[in-house]
Amino acid sequence: MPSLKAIRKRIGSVKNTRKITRAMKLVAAAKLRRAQDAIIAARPYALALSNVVSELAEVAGTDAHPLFEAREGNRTAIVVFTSDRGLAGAFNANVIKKVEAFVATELPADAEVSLRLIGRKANQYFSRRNARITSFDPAPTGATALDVARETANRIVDDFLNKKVDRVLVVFNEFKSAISQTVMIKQVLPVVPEGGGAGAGAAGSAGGVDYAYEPGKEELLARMVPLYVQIGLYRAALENIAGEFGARMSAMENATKNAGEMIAKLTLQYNRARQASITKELLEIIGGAEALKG
Amino acid sequence: MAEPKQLAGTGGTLDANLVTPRGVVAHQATDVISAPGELGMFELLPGHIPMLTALKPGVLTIGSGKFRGRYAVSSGYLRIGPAGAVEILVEQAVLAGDIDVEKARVDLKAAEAELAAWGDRPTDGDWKSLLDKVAWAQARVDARTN
Repeated sequence: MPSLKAIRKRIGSVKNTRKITRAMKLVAAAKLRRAQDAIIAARPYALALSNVVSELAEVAGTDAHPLFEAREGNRTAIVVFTSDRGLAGAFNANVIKKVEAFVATELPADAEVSLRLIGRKANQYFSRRNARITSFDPAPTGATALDVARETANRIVDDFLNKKVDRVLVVFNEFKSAISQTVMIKQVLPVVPEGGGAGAGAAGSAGGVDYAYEPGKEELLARMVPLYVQIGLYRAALENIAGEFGARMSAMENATKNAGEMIAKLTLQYNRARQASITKELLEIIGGAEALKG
Repeated sequence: MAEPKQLAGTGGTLDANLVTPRGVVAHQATDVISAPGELGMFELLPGHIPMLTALKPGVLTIGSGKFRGRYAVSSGYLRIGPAGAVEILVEQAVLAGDIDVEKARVDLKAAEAELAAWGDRPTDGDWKSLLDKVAWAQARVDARTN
């Protein structure tokens, strides 16, 4: 049985750990709110841009831009979003597992897979396994998410237009709630316009309105489609940020709870040990007194 | 009885809505918008025909006189509907007054230097990102100085 001092020391250390996990939970909760606000703030832009792209695709035809072109080839690039830091439960492991499962089951055996990794955790994992990594960037924060999305979009658009890859997918944790994130895998390129737009207008008009297009429809598409790709990645980045904080929040809450349980258990053990030592002392005194009497 | 309130866009106003991925930057009724179009600067007045046009990085102004809002914007589009609703979607926008012009100048210099050092490397996606950086820094400097 450990000594009283050792148990007391251990209780103190678990209490300190609990303080840290509780603080981490509170920090994650505060950051989560900001990340959720950013997701909501991005919606009007994403919706409007998506409408414009589908309207333009409707009036100009989907063969009007090479980024719409579905190709036969099997060179696939995967953009993987993870976080830089752990302590977030299975947040990163789920993404990595999904990528591996997808490559193993959904892609043909001779598919050429290249990875564009965002987040140190993905890099740590895949660089040890000799995967083909084309680029690596640290995980985005609220302030850098737009830049990361722009740079990644420019890279994949360039790769696709120059026929270095035939298909680009993105894998990220979609933020459902603080306790649940779902790993999503979405196709980014070739772009599949969300059908319908604002309404099916006659040829040459969008949503029934005759717009003057400046420069032409095709040139407009050429400007808008990369922005559309970018906003897709930006949303993935934001979901990833919010998901990370959500996962960390629940992981830290569990850790705090476990620490509490451990403290209760150790306190019980400590009290028992203390009681045993008191009893032992009493017995010694009584024994001594009895001996003197005799 | 009070006069019915005039609806934006129906009687000589434009209902301007400037939106970025970070949220709505400005939403106001106005009488004039000047924007950096792909084919050059243009001014938009009420009663304009429906139009969809690409914007390049530059300076956007909404309104005139003391109600004038001046913004540095990056690329995007401007769409005016039949009722005078103007949707301005740009990837980045910042009010001229909020721009840290010194930082913009430093960014511009750094990006230009990087571009000058590009040399024979292929003009790939990273090169395009650098061009975007230069254009955005230039737009911010212009919004404060010109």
